[in-house]
Order: sequence, then C-alpha cells, then structure tokens
Amino acid sequence: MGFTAVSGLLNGITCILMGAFVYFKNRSAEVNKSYSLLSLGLAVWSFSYFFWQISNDRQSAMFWVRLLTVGSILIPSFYLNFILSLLKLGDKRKKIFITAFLSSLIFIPFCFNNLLIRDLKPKLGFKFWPDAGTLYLPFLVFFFLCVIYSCYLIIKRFKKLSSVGQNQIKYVFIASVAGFLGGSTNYPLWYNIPIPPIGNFLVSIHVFILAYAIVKYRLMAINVVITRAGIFLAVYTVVLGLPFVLSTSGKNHLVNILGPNWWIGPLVLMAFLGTLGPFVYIYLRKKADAILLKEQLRYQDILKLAAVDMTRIRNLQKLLDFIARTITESVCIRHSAIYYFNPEAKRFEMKAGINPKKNQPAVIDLKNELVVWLEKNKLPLAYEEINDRSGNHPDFVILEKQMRLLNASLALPCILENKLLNIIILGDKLSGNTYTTDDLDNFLILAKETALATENAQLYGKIEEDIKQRTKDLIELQKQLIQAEKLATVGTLAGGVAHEINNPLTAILTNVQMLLRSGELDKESLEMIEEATKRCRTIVQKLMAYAKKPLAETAVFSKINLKTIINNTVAFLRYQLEQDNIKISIKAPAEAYLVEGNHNELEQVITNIILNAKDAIKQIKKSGIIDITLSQAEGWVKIEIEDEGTGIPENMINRIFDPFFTTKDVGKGLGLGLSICQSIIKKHKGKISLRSNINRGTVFTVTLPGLNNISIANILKDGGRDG
Amino acid sequence: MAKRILIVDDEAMITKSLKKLLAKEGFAPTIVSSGNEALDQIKTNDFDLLILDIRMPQMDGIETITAIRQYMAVEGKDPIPEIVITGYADENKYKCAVDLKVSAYIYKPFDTNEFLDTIKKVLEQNNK
Repeated sequence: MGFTAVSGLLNGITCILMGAFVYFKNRSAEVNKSYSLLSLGLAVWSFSYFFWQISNDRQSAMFWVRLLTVGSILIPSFYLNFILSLLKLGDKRKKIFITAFLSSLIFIPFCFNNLLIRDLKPKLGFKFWPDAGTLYLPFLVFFFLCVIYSCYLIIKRFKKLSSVGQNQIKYVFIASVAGFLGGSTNYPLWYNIPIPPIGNFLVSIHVFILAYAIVKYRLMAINVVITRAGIFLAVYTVVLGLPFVLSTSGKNHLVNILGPNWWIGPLVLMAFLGTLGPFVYIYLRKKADAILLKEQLRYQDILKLAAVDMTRIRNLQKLLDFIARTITESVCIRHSAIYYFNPEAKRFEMKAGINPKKNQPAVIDLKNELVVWLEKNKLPLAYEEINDRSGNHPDFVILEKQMRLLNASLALPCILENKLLNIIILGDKLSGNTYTTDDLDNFLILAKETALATENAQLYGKIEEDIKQRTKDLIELQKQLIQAEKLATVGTLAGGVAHEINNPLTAILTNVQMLLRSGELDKESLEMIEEATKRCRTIVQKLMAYAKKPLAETAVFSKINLKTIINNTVAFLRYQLEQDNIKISIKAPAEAYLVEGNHNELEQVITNIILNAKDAIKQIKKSGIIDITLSQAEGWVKIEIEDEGTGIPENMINRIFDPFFTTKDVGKGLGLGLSICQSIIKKHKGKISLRSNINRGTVFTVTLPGLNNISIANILKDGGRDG
Repeated sequence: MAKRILIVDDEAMITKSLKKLLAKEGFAPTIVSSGNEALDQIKTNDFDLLILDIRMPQMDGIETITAIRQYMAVEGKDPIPEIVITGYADENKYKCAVDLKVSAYIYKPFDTNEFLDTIKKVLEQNNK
C-alpha cells in the first residue's frame, strides 16, 4: 500500500467525520446539509480510491475505479450546490444546480462500460490505473465547468460580503482551488501523462477548510485551522504510513529477520508511533499556535492588564474612553463604541468610541431587540453568527438588522448583578479574522470588569458631586459667617459711634428746646449748642477717616502708611475704649511706616486685635492699657499690640487662628476674627504671631514687608503663629 | 421746697445742659461726673431723685446705683428713686437696669418735655 492509498483512506475518514460533524451541528441549515452531501460524495470517491489502490486483482480494482468515478461525477454538482448555499444563492440559482445535477446523472451509467473507463493498466508503479474512455473528456469539461462556475460565483459575491465574510470566502476559494487541483493530479495519468497524483492529500485539507467555513464562527482563525489540520495529517501520515510502508515495502526484510512473525515489527512500530503521535501533535500544535496566535495572545494579555487598570479609574468618562481605546488599539479593530445606560433618561447613550461611523446611532432604546437579547442571554453576540442563522430563525433576522444598524461585528454586554450597565460595540478586526472563542471568553471577562469599574466610577462620581456640593455649601456658609462677623464688628463699632454722638446730640436738643421754651437767646445755651455741634463734626470726621475708602477699588493694593491707619483706628475707637476704662497708647517714632497693602483690610486687622485686647482686659479688671508699638528694620515693618488682659492658655495658642475657635463665652463671638486677620496678613505676604501669659496679657505681632521689600515678600509664603 | 436732683454723667455738656434745664424748671440740681463722686454726695446730702448716665468710666451707672442702694440700706435710709439715661446701643446695660428695677429709663437724645414729665411722674410716685 502506498502513499496514495493512505491519502485516500485519510481523505475518506476526514470526509465522513467532517460531514457528520457539520451535519449534526445544525441539521436544518441548508449549507450544513449541502456540505454533508458534498462530503458524502468525496467520501465515496476517497474510500473507493483507497480500496482501488490496495486491490490485488484487476476485477476488484475495476469495481472500485467505477465507484470512485461515480463519486467524482457527483462531486462537482454537489460542490456547486454547497457554494450556492454558502453564498445564500440557493433559491436564485436552483435551476443551475438542478441542471448540473441532472447533467452529472447522465454520466453515471457510463461508469459501467468503457466509454468512461476504457481499461486498467500498470502505470508509474501503480498496478491498476485507468485509461480514459471517449466520454471522459466531456466529463472532465463538465467537472471543471462546475468548479470554475463555483469560483466565479465566489469572486462575484466577494465584494458584497463583510470583511470577516471576505476572509472566510478567501480561504474557501484557496482551499477549493487547492483541493480540486490536488485531486486533479489523478487525471493526467488517465491519459498516460506521467504525472503522479501527488496532490491527493490536499483533498483532506480542502474538506477541513470547507467545514470551518460553515462552523467557522465559534472555532478559531482559519489559518490556525489549516495549520492544525496540516500538522494532524502530517503526524498521522507518519504514524500510519510508516508501519504500512514497512509492512509492504519492507516485508521481505522483516521476514528475513523475524521469520513468520514479521508482522510484529509493523505492529510494534505502529504501537510506538501511535503512542508518540498525540504528544508530537500536541507539541507541534503548541509551537504553531505560539506563532500563529502570537497576535491574539498579545492583545489578550493587554486586555487582562486593562481589566485590572480600569478599576483604578474613578471618572466615568475617562473609564469608558480608556476601554474603547484599549480594545480598539490592542485588538486592532476598525471602530468601537460604548453605550452607557443613563438611569434618568432610561436609555443607552453612546459615551465613548474610536472611529465611530457617521451613521452610528447616538442612543439605543431599552426596548431594542439587541438590548433585550443581551440582557436575557448575558453573552456576547457576533454578527457573523446570527447572519448565518438568520435564514432559518426570524428572531435572528431582527437581531441581524439591529447589529447592522449599530455597525456591530460583536456586541458585548457589561452586566453587574443582573443589570446591563454598558454595551460595547466592536467593529471588524483589521486583519479580517473572526472573533474566536478565546476572544469571546476574554471579552466577556473584560465586559464583567467593565461593569464593575463602571459601578465604581458611578459611585465615585456621586460622592465627588456630593462633596463638591457640600464644599460649595460650606464655602457659601463660610462667606455668610464671615459677613456676619464683619457685621458684628460693624455693629460693635456702630454702637460706639452711636453712643459717642448721642451725647452731643442730647446737649443740642436739650439746649434748643430750652431756648424755644423760654423764647430768649441764652448765650450759654448757644455756646453749648455750638460746642456740641462741633463735637458731632469731629466724630463724623473720625468716622470718615476710619471708614475711608481709597480712590481705587477696595480690593486693590496701594502704598499705605501704617502709622496713619493706626492713628485713625485709635482715634475712632478711643471714645468707646475710654468708656470701658481702657487707655490706648501709640509709640511710632518714625514719620512713616510704608507698606504695600489694602487700607480697609489692614484697618480691619488692627481694629479686631484692639477690640480683642479690650475684651481680654475687661475679663480680669475694670481698667487697663493697650500699647501699640510700630517699628521697622531690615525691610520689615512690625506692629505690636500689647494688652494686660487675661492671656491665652498654652494649649489654645496653636488654635487661636483656627476658624470658629474662640475663648469667649457662647454668643460673644463667632471665632472668625483672628482667622480673617491671618488670611489678610497672609495675603499681604506678612506674618501674624502672638505670645501670651495667663493673667498678664498678650502681645500680637504683625510683620509686613516694607514698601521696598517686595522680593522678600515673594519668598515668604505663609503667615504663622508663635506661642 | 425745691426737689433736689443729683445728676451723674461723665459728659460735661450734658450735665451742664441738664443743670440749666432743671434749674429753670424749679429743681435744685447737683451735678457730678462719676459714680464715686455721686456716692460722696449721697453720704453728705439728701436727694429726692438720681439721674444717672448708664455708661461711665471707672464706675458705670449700674454699679453706682448698686453702691448707693447698699449705702442707703446700711444707713437705714429710704431709697432714692433713679432715672437712668441710656443710649440705644447699650442693650446689655439696659437689661441690667431693668433687672435693678429703676424707676424710669430715658434714651438719648431725649425730648426735653418727655424728660421733664418723667421726672415729675417719678417724684409723684415716690411721694405716695
């Protein structure tokens, strides 16, 4: 038995197995049925070929040659039928198939006379090889017409298919050409052309690839199929072939060595190779997969890492952009889109996408059939798969339409706790390869991680929004409290002014009414009225001096003499301080203490510290003194305000500038005054500090950069506090 | 006999004005400028009415009233009615005056007629 016999046997086994596999995969599908029929025809031809090759007598050989010729007559019409089914042209071209089939039937009766097979002769080492009869050439014309027409249909339909479909058909075309050409290497010898049938084994590969074309979607990339099939054939050709060669060509040698038990040699060899065969196959397959699937393994690793990285992304938009970009770039697909479920609008909205098509819908309704399917099945949906099945299932027709509208080759559901959060739409791979089972498994994991990461991002988004809102509320509240603090201070100051001005007003009113009652012009009364009026004027002038706004906007910095500010403030506060038995003294020997600053804000600081000093003194004594000292050195101007009040405990000094911290009784202050002072001084690139002793008093020190010391001011960043 | 009124206020233009007014109305006003001076006057003279400014340095109107009442109680003398003069901003002091149950309060700057009416009312009530 030679190589050709083995190839025939292998072809036959392959045809039967693949035919049965494809048939039982989907008995109702036309393409599956037509493939199985083709496989049957090829099986008849292959097995007949095998038995013919191992025939020892002419009669048996002739029988098998006739049978294989029957097979080869049916093969072209069955192949045409298969191609018509694969391209979904079965209905339109039914007449063509019927014509081809009936035409083929015409040749069958001639198998049993010499019009097709004239004789059997030894040729090129083969014991019994047919001579072509008269009708053999017409048969061959018919044969090749069918095959060429099938190839024409493939080429014509090619451009109308999706890129995945084109990729599939490309391999079917190549496999068809290879299979028929390979099988056709048998024919030259029929006409005594000395070409051996070396291409016979290509029939098996042809059968494998055609099977894949039908059951393609959930298997693997076609190049992997071809490679694995090739490895399988090569390995098992050796596993089976070597023992057969040994038992035929090497029989004589074995007999010489082993005698009547010569068969032990091939048997042992077969057992050994049979045991070794699967391991060799697996090893070679792994090596081939590592090369062929290198790209797939690369992007599957990237996606696994991405699944981990995405859980760290807290911003929803950034997350969806990241996922779309990662999948598109790593898997090398044409386009992608991610639809996110908007709970308020109750629909899916496209939030991210790479190279989305112009007609890509912006929203998907909840009632969309694709959404319903994904929610129910919780599995990825591939366009090619439903495209194949839409012919015999009405639901798939609708799904196919929805997938087309969404430009989807693959739709991935991102589900968490039975809620569909996102739908990831993927376009075709740039390579034209299908999405394999491994791809779908990995994408499903990615989809689950995406759902988890989406929920996390939603949660963080909500928390962030809450925090932003609360911060906004707090800032607003703080502004209101600062305003309240300012108003409270203004209230205190206004109270002092009101009291001060009430006295001369009382004198004026009393004297005026006295004059009116008496009707006489009393000189003493008039003098008292004059004095009181002048007093009012002085008070108003003091008030204006204190409340004076600079010509420019109140927030603007300008050149300021701190001595003037302190004098105005003390003049303004002196009356009410004296009412509380507080004396105030100023030591400022220089003419001017110039700084760059805001008039109103610095006045606010001085006022606040002086009023605090007054309150501190009043806590422990009926009267006291507040000393204010101005000095300047090394480009800095220093103001020290010292009181002899209650002092600040050591453990409170570090908190004295904290907002809402107060040593006063409840209701006596908001605790914002010194906090505001610190903010103002910081803004002036200065420093505010204090030192204090219990029941002996406190000294507040404000240091500001002198007018010519802006460079130091730029270096100094924070105000501080000392104990 | 003219009613003797002690006016206590650290503001000279007020005490001078009130002295002039009350003298014209037939009262016998005495003016002092502090709580301590008032207490000294009480110890040496008799008065029918006290008019005090509530806000004074050293010893304010409340403290002066308290000291005078204490003195009168110790000496077994009849209490002297008090009229407190207060500004609108002296809310806390006003509350203290209310707690002390002084005879009347007048807000500065006050109407002269109202002021005189208040004095007459308080003196009449005290006579009863």
